[in-house]
Amino acid sequence: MHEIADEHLLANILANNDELAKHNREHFDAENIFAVNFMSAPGAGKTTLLSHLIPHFQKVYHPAVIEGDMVGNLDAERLAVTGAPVFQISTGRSCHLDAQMIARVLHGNDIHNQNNHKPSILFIENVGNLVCPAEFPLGEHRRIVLLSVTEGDDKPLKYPVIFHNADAVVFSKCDLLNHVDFDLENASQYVKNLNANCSVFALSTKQEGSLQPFATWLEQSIEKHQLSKGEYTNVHSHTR
Amino acid sequence: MPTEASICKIQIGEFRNVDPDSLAFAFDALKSNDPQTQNCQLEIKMISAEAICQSNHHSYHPAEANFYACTICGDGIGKLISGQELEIASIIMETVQIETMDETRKA
Ligand SMILES: Nc1nc2c(ncn2[C@@H]2O[C@H](COP(=O)(O)OP(=O)(O)OP(=O)(O)O)[C@@H](O)[C@H]2O)c(=O)[nH]1
Ligand SMILES: [Mg+2]
Ligand SMILES: [Zn+2]
Ligand SMILES: [Zn+2]
Repeated sequence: MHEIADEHLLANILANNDELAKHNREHFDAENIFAVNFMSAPGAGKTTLLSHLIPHFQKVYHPAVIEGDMVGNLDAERLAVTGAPVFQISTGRSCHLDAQMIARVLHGNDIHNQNNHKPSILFIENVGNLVCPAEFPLGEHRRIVLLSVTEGDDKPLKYPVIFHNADAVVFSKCDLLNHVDFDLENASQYVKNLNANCSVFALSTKQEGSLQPFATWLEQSIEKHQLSKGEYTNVHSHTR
Repeated sequence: MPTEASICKIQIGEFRNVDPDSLAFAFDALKSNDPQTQNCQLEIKMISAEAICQSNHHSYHPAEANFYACTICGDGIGKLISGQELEIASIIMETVQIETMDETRKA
């Protein structure tokens, strides 16, 4: 004899990560830290962009950085020279950061008090990958995806999930536009098709002035966030 | 009384980076070591994406063939109303009553 029980669960398979992401968000908000998650394919220019953004934000926001890499601390060393506190996460075999890794940094380090300055912005550099980082929210306030012009303007169509989930997309290495067939208009259109609310920027770290619109957008995002604090929407939650 | 899982139903939305074959492979590898799950069948249901376009609130299926734009007006996704699922919909458990020696003798 046997009995059958059909248990209707609708349990979120990544619930552990999503709960920890929410927990990280509570840490950030309690400490007045605005957290920004930078994602891209390997080599699109995340570390280089951060090395230019940090000095820009230094005076007012005292940025801190969490550097995610599979192996080594090369990027962390590159950013440490800016004077910003940099926390390295070596993910080992994992091709993305997850909320647990961020929680460990938040619990194990006094990131809230560096050189007598409280950071009010935290840059998180994810592992170079356009697939898995989209699946693991970290508790960040904004998600940025970089797409360098050498990668091709069709990439939003091939990696729709990460572009749909982005708050802003940055087309990087625009100094190289003359050497490649990258149509900025097409690329922007694809991104807007995937997410009409996404902001789009084109810049080059070789042309310092080109970073300004993106830096301004970040500053405005911090201001907006301070007005709407406490609201937490998971990247996947609007489906339900 | 021992119970074991016989069917596990999972839903994966089109706008999640989850490959059903890889998930099934991992599921089979994990279940085999546990008497409560070793006979469990995985049923995966793919959920297609449905978007609401930003300006005109049309409901449409965002597809690569149309560059993910609204098939009616060409506008972009305002929000997704389905396609981001990644969940266990249900698990069917069976309670197996093992026949004891006594019962066998009675029969
Ligand atoms: N021409 C040009 N090269 C750039 C620009 N930004 C970055 N690069 C170069 O691109 C290469 C990769 O840059 P990184 O900043 O290391 O890229 P990343 O995204 O941090 O790379 P990973 O962390 O390994 O994924 C380096 O050789 C940079 O010098 C740019 O605006 N223009
Ligand atoms: Mg880097
Ligand atoms: Zn904590
Ligand atoms: Zn429409």
